[in-house]
Amino acid sequence: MDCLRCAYCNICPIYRIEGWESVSPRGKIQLLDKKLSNRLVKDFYKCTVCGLCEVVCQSKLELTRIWEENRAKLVKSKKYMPAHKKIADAVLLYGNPYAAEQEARVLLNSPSNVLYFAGCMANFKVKNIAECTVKVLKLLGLEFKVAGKSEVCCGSTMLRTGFIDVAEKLFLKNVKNWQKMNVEKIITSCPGCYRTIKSNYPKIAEKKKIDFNFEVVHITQFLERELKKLDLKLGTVTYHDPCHLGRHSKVYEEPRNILKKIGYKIIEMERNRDFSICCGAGGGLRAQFPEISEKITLERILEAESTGAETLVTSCPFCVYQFSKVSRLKVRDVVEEVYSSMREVELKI
Amino acid sequence: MYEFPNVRVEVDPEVCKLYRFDLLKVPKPFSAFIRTPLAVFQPENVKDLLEILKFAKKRNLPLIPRGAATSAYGGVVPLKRSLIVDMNRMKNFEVENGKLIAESGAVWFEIERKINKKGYALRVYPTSALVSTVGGWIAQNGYGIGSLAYGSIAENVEWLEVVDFEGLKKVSGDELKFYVGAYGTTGIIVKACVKLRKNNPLGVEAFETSIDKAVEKIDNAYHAAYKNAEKKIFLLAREDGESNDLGLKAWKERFFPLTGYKSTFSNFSEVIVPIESVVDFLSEVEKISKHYQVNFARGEATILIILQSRNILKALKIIKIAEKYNGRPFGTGIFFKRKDKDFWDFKKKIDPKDLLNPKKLKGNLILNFAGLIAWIA
Repeated sequence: MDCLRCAYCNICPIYRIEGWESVSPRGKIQLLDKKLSNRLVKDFYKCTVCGLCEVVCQSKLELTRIWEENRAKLVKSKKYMPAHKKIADAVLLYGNPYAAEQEARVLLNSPSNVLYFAGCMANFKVKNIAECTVKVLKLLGLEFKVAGKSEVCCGSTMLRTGFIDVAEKLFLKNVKNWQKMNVEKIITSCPGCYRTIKSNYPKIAEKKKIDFNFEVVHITQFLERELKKLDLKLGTVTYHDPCHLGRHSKVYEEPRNILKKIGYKIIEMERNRDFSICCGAGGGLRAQFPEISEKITLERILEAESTGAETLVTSCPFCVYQFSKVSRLKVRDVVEEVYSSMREVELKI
Repeated sequence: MYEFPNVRVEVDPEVCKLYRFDLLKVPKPFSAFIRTPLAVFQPENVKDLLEILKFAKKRNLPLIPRGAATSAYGGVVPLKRSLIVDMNRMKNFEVENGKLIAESGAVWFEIERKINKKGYALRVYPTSALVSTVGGWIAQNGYGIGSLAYGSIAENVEWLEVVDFEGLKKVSGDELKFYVGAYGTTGIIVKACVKLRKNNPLGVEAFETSIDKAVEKIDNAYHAAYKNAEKKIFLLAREDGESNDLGLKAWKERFFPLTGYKSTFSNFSEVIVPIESVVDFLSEVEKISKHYQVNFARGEATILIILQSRNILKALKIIKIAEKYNGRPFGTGIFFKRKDKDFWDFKKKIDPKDLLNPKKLKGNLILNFAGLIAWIA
């Protein structure tokens, strides 16, 4: 079905900030397959690929796929954003987008065939999430390993910004490494890594005629099953649904159930689950358009504050990093909360 | 455009082209009549608006006020080279003495979310409330959720602030009829005072039933709707009523009247029909399409008929059937004529050069010709 131009997609938080139709999903749809001026190319990239537009689309268009495919077309014709190219160069050269030393990645040797894939953000920017995850998995008695410097970026940002060739190179490096390490199951911290490895990698594998037989779970899916009820009296939190985990992967209840299990009362934000808005960091927006990105972040923070909850909890290192820069509320990853709670119970014992 | 240092303006023709349309699917032969706007302004206050009006008057340039452009009647479609006045940056609102005072660009559902927390609720709001604006819906005189209890938006507006070439005016009482449903042809709506209800909880129930049985059950409800899609679902919302699971689902889907049908669709027709004629009208319309949604209003019902064909003649034929039952099109826009003489006398006085949203509400000659063919067919 064609776009009806019903404008429901103008619920887009970036359109609400920028205000021009060239930034709105409805406007962008009218421009597909047309020769775009530099101005319109720039506007096309003003999008976090969060998928909110797809939730409300009355024409049932697969808008997230449309944005990603058209970004790939733009990159093919060299119409990419400078900040995205910089990330592409960095991941190819260093194995991560921050041009950081790979040695800084968490390493844990084990004969186990379960791999914890921490991802770049948790390895380099919000290391506490990776460290807490390792501790929690150990406390739960899981045998697992972490790849250390041989882990490279999963390529999520590359897929979202149109650099498909770069993402495919990263796929090859990771998959070869996992095969060498006899990995069968992968646990991720980052929803971006989760969606990429779970949904995008099998498609790349098919294209490249490579076997891809890995079970992929997000840490919240694993913990919901494995964590016992702790029933602590921990106060109130509000939970932010990360786009890659929520809208794109439909994992809404697991993180909430974990928070309830450890003893939190959840106060929902007005926009939650499939209507949640992006933290502002996704789709390469923060790298290329930091001023728009920060406005979205602030909007979400204000919504979280208005709940009256004591802590803003999410289950994404990207969102934690983004919110922590501006939030007056305490910002925590679910895993950090789980680790603190398990420690509290352990100390009581 | 140097005269507007403080008004947001866009003159890039590629961007301006995106302001040629609303939800209306303009048939190809007619698209030649649509013009690309010269510029799009985004005023942030009344001062900006008055400057834009002064500029337009000086250069004899038409002005088209624009909200979210969610209507299907071409109200914001430029039929002359025009200046678009996009109101989406004037979106402040507050509750004052139990009434909503909202700027034209405020989005209905954003208002509802905020005022609910203060114990108030909108009496009526459009099914497109997720994105549509206060000014846009008033300019269209829309019907929507709550119209069964409270009528159209016209019955709920207490006063308006509008701007025209003479300046800023406050309009109330009988004079409102010159602005509500006028598509900005007599002035640009700046602010509206709208009546509210107390945010009493609503019970929402839904059942599978036939349209004739549904019509019998709407008395004293806040909102009632009937959707003939995959199933025949009748939704009933009552203050302090009971809820059921199907009702909660249907209530959540009230914002999506164009989804849920068995087959994809290409076009639709939307009419208002007296309540006593709804069943007869629909039995006749079912020969053309079995997919429709009825939103009940006071003594009448708005009916959206989904068509699998892009043929505009079928859409116009449905309007002819509605007229047979003393019904009318839901909107006027570029298609249909506003017939009250005192409106046109007023328009002539306020806007003698027809610069405010020109060629609207007049019944476009070519489209009327298409209507004639439809009537013959």
